Amino acid sequence: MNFAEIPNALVSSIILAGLYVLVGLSWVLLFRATQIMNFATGQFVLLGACLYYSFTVSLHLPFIVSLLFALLIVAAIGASIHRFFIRRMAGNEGFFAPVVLTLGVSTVLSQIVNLSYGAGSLAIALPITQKNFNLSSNIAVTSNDLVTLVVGVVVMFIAQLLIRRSRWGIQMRAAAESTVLASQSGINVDRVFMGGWAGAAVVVAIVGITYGASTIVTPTLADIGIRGLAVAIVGGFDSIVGLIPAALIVALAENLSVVFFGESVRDAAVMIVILIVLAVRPQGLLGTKAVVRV
Amino acid sequence: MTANNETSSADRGIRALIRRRSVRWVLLGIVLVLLAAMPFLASDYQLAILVSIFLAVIGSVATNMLIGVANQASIGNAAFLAIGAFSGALVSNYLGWNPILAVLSGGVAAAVIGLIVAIPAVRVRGLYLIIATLALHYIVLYLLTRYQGSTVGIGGFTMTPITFPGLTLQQGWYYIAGVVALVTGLVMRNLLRSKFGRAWFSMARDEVASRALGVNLFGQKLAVFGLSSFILGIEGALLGYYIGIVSSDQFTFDLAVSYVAMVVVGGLGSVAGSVLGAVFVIGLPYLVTWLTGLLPAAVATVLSTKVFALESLLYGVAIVAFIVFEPRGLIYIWRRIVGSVARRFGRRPVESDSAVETTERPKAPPVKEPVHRLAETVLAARDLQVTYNRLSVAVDGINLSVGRREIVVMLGANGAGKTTTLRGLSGFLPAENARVSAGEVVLEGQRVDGKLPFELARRGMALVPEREKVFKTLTVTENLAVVPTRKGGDRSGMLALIDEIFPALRELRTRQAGYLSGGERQMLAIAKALVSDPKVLLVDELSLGIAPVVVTRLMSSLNDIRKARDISILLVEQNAPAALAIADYAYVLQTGEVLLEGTGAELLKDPEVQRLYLGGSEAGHYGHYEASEDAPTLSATTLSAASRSARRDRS
Repeated sequence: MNFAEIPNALVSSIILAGLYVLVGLSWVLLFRATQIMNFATGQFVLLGACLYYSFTVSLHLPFIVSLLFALLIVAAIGASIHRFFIRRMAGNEGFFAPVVLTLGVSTVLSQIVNLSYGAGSLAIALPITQKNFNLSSNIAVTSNDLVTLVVGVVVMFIAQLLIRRSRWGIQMRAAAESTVLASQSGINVDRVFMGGWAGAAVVVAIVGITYGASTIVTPTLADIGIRGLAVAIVGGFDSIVGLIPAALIVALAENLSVVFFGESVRDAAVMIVILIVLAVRPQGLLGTKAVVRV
Repeated sequence: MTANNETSSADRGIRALIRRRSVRWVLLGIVLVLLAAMPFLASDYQLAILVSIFLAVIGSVATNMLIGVANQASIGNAAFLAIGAFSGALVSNYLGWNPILAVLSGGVAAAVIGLIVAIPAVRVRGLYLIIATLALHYIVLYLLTRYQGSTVGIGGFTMTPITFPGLTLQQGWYYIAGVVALVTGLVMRNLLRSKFGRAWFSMARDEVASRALGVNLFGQKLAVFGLSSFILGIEGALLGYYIGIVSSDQFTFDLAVSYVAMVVVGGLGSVAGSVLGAVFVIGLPYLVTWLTGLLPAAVATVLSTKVFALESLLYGVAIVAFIVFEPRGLIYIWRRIVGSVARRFGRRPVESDSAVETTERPKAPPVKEPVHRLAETVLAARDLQVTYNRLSVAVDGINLSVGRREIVVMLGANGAGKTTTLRGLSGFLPAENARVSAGEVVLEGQRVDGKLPFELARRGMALVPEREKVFKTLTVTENLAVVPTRKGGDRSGMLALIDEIFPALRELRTRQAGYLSGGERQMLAIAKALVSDPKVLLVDELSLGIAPVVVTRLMSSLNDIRKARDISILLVEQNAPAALAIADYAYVLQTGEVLLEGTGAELLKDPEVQRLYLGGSEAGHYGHYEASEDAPTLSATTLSAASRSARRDRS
């Protein structure tokens, strides 16, 4: 335990929250649209980073093109999960089947990445000059960190705008309330759901690229997926705004417990936060209702 | 299936043999003897595979009991395995207990934790239980890692090997794992047939209902959590002894998922399914290794570095494939194979799907020419039959048509099939378990039955459903914005028209539809249907729960809309006099069939309609609804006594 590390932990929590908020957004987006929790979320983080690596490093494409291609492919994979699997399930086998499905999908995606990129580490970079900003003698913030925060804020803003104002957003909320009425009203529900999957995948692929650029791309990058579940639960699974305080809480809980109990507590600390919220306030900070409760 | 074809005497002999119960026992005996003799027939490598399968069967059965039977979706299995393994290690290494006691202690320790988990699980269920058990997994593994690190270090606990006098290690373990797996399977099989099994099945179907039937939910959840974690703990301790080392890094989340995979791939709720699932999940990697060994050496070398990834990939694909394409699992496939073999030898199939599919009834005699009406037909149903849940026929042989700019009314008592008819016309989603099982729906000259609701909506069919008719979480404006315009439709014109007919909605634009009154909601629902500029408007129960004054206004609004626009209307209504007064044509439904039909004016005068819906001569009361002037008032072609008696003869 080293109290001198606390300020550093606080600063890095804020930056980490910039990533977590987007991973949480991915869970919430998909859950709001389709009532499905995607346990393959982390694999989309990894996939985004790996595809970006292929386009920038292997194919030497410019940043914008690489980014667009990577996001497009990830969106297509996300949408096809609905198109080819979820849609073929009768739709009335309860909550468990989709969970198992996404667990299976996560295995498949992991192994596809493993087969195509190997289990080693890949280095990716954003087209910015690397600089360190020293906040104090032992706290430094890199330009990647700042990009992470800005991207987090911008993507959250766009997502909120899309859901509240865009035609797709309104259709998504309608379909979430009643798929039957939505279809009767002329909404192509499957396309809305595919949009939900694509959006959820794109959001975490962005995380993969920014996060991968500030660390390194290895299969463990996917572990951030489960953090997003924690953020979504803390914020309330049907609330976008709740994600912001939730991301901060999860990042803080994680970093502070590492300061106090050492690195190995990282995963467990997040899970304890989940259990506390489930026990005390199952609807989360700003959620309107518990997702499933007797 | 009866023996109506030529069969050889050998066939008949086999059939007679299989029918004899004693023969089945003999067959079972042979299988058991083969299994018992296996250690002396198979190589150590083959035995090791079988031991892994047997050990996995134990956990697979336990997981299936929890997930498949009692519907307690948990992914905390690996944590219980770990608790069992650690407890066994501690008891044997520090207390010096013998292996049997150590293994039992593993079961007890896991059961205790399982019971503690079950207490909150009584309140939490569904997705939350999955998340809670996921959290349990990581927390338990963290604590064990921590403990392991502070006592024996990263390497983990070393277990004293169990020796078997006269047998090799694999031979000995073959018997131990085999017997425990067999006992576990038998215990679950018998439990499922006991009152516990029945309680768990009913709990899985519907918790509230099972409580009403006297199931003690708390007790039963404790029982199923306790028992399944006890078994998992036993398996964990056995695994520790078998591998020789107990370390927290063996019990990954992927291990937990693999047990869930066994249950899903094998078949939920079935003991045999658990076994098949364990064989599949454990056997798959060995199968892949074996197959790569058969390939040409050059290919095999290239693949050998990727074998593990390939195995995992196949395993993931198998999970996805089973959950999507055969959620009943391997056991169902197995039963079908057994069933077809059994049919071959004259036994009844174990399970048959064919009984469920027979919804087709003998066709009704060809229907007479549709009643001649002046207006061109926009929407028609011919011999419409709607089936729910694959076997219950809700309406059958409905014939109706809606002409251009007509108002057509459908009357009928509760359960007559009016709503089902409307739903049949407007389409079903796959998840609704309903379909148009016979007959056809024709919209603007094109067959549209079997199409999805949204496709019909875009072709100009707009439905105002009886219950869920507006999006409650959306504002009034959003409710209108969410509806796409029909191809070639005039949205702005319709919006202007809606403003004109429902001025009240203008004031409510930003209000959430959930806060609207019944009448306002109905107006919004009709506006929502109109905004797409439909060709046909279907309205289910216009007047339900709405004040009579409002009904009057809505009815005349509909009349206006039809006149102002080229829109046909099919109205389902309880309020017969009001509806008939504006109807160009009307149908009366009874028990899923058309009982009467005719123009609104005719039906108003019809004695049977008067008796059923108008309560005698009250019709004059509603005289202020004028039958529209352009209604096709051909002479009473339909309600002739002849056609009516013909109809009765048919039913």
